[in-house]
Amino acid sequence: MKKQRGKFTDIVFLFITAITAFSVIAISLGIFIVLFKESLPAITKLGIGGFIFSNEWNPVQEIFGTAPALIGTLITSFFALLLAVPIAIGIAIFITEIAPSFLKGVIGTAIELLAAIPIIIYGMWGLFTLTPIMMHYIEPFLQSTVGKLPLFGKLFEGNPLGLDLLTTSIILSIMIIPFTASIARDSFNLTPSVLKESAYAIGATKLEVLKDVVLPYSKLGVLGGVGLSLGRALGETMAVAFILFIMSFNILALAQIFLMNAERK
Amino acid sequence: MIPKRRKVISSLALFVCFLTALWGIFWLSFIIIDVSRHGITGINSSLFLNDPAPPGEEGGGLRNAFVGHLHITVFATLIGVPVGVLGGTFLAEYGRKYNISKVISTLSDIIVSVPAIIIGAFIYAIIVKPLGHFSGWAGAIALGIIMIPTILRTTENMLSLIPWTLREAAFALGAPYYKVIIQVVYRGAATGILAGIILAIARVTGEAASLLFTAFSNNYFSLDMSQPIASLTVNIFQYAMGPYEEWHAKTLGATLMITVFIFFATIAGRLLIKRRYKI
Repeated sequence: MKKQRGKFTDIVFLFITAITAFSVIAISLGIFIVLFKESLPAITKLGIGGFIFSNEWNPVQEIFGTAPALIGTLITSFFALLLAVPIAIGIAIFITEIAPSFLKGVIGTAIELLAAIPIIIYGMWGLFTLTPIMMHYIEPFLQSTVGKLPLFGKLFEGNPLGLDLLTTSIILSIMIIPFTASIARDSFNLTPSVLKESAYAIGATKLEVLKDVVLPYSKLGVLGGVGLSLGRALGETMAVAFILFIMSFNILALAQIFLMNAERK
Repeated sequence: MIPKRRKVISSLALFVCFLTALWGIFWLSFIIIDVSRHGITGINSSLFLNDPAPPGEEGGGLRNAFVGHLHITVFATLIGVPVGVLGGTFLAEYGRKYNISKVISTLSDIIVSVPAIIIGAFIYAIIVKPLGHFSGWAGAIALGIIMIPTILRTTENMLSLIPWTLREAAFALGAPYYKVIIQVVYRGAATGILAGIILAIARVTGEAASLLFTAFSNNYFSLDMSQPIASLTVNIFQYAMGPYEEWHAKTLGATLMITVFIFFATIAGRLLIKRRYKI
């Protein structure tokens, strides 16, 4: 009798855990289906090509071309990656290969804390601290020197207000550096020390060991980390909203963008 | 001569790596020092004890936002923790032999990296739109959904670290599986699961984008979860965009409070994991 009750409770427990686990499938399917359904009107209105390439944004006539938002996202994410990836790999190398062991822990924790700072704080800090610095010192200087270059000049053209693509890229890059660095560090740590030691034994310098042993070995892991941080940069909302949307959209327009378009903005 | 050149190049490259590490530390300390320097001026007793004053007037605080934020986070934890822990239990124990468990693990990894604003839009479409108004419950559910996959994955990993022989010893005494899980496996993995929960709470505390679509905001003190409710992060966003110096000071104070909380939670979570597993 008692044994049967145990069995019954066991099945109930199995059921509860199974339901909770399967709720993950329900949630992820739900997200895709709902976003697809909700964004269908906006996409069918212009067709897929028009939705992506049109730059008309007219909520009254319900025309939503996403070209400006899409291109802005791509440009800021690209420059953020360009700034962040070399630095992140440098930090990872410093932590795994160079730093004395007491510094390893300290810098590792510091990087993880930087990753834990919420996005909204980066945005706040960008708006109140970085923007004035960019406005007063860096952008006038850049405009007078390299502002004529075609693609790069686009980042900070016009009045040097500080609220532009360059500032956004810098904040995004600061945001993804710790993320990329911790993944790169983990994949560097996976290199078997036997491999490194045999390279040292034939007289390789540290740089040569890094370049010819560690990096080829952990290439895939580092690339995966870069991909993940690209995803993070593309998906960033609040930090970008603080700097960029202040110029052209208010919060309600912001809400419309994300509800009418299933963009990963 | 040649080996010397190689050595010089090598140390130059390493020096560059050292500089990049300094660069990372520089930004971290820049942000922390800046947030605390400005934030401290915004912190006073009225920030915690008073409700917002009308725009442009002196005084007032963010009591409604602190209380509302606490409400949303507590209810999100109540949603996210049971679902995450039990789901992780299924993946690591009952379902460990089935392929579907791997699918669920992968899916939750994907949800972890989905931007929070997508979750917010999802909840907006299925809860806020049919009901016709923003509500605290929608916010709590959105944050709960953000918590679920993180907690689920940590629980799964922590449970699979418990040696299988421990379970066999309990089986040999005639215990049914659920008793083995609750009394043996959970006990061994408790610290790890707790750390995962703390880290997940730290993650949702700073969440703003998804709350904007779900809980929205409220200028008055409210405990009613079925109505729009104020939260710190949304208030930070609105006040920082506003034109008043008063608002900016309050925003910075609130920012400092959130940052301090998250730092403590993150360090506590990491320390728990380190102490338990001595990594």
